[in-house]
Amino acid sequence: MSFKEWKFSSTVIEPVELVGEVFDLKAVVIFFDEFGKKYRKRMHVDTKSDVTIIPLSFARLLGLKFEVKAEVNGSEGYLSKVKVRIGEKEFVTAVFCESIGKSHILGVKTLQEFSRIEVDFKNRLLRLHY
Amino acid sequence: MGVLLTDVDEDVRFERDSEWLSSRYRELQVGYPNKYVAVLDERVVGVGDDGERLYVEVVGKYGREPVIDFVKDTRTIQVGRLRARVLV
Repeated sequence: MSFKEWKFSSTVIEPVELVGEVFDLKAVVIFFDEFGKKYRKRMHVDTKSDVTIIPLSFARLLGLKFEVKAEVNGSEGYLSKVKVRIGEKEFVTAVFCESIGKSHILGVKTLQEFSRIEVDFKNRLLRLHY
Repeated sequence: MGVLLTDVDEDVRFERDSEWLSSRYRELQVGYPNKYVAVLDERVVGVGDDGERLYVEVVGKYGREPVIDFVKDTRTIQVGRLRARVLV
């Protein structure tokens, strides 16, 4: 069994006695466009997002097909599929292409391609196990 | 003279730059709070308010993909997909 890991950052939010340290889980994802060209992204990992979310402008750059329209929290966009690589694992995953969004978020549908997700807060390491 | 990196080298470099950004995050919060930063070869090569625009600018200038991230300040917390600012 192997895994891919990334060190993650933290922020100390004021007032420290009330909030204190919060963590920001990030992973590197390589997207492929319709011709196989790579686009590398540092993405926020969100275990509450069902699918991966990218801006519509980036989805257009990738040449994705926009067949299914969807609305999330008042934000319009399209559901599509995209080829990605995370570590050594390459696969096609569902993606929500958000019209007004600027975020790159790695969602559960993508994460479940892996056998296990591990967050080591002490050493600040995020691991995705193959 | 620039160094020609292979595609695989660029994958490794991007991972290394992402790691560098994570390890320097608190320093970046001091210098660039609430800004997008672009990192290339373990240094900040651009700063802006729009991550996508910054990406296009840096790719245009260097011909390579920077790691782009938004640097939060120390008074903003993430609440779901919203950002809440602490008002004390």
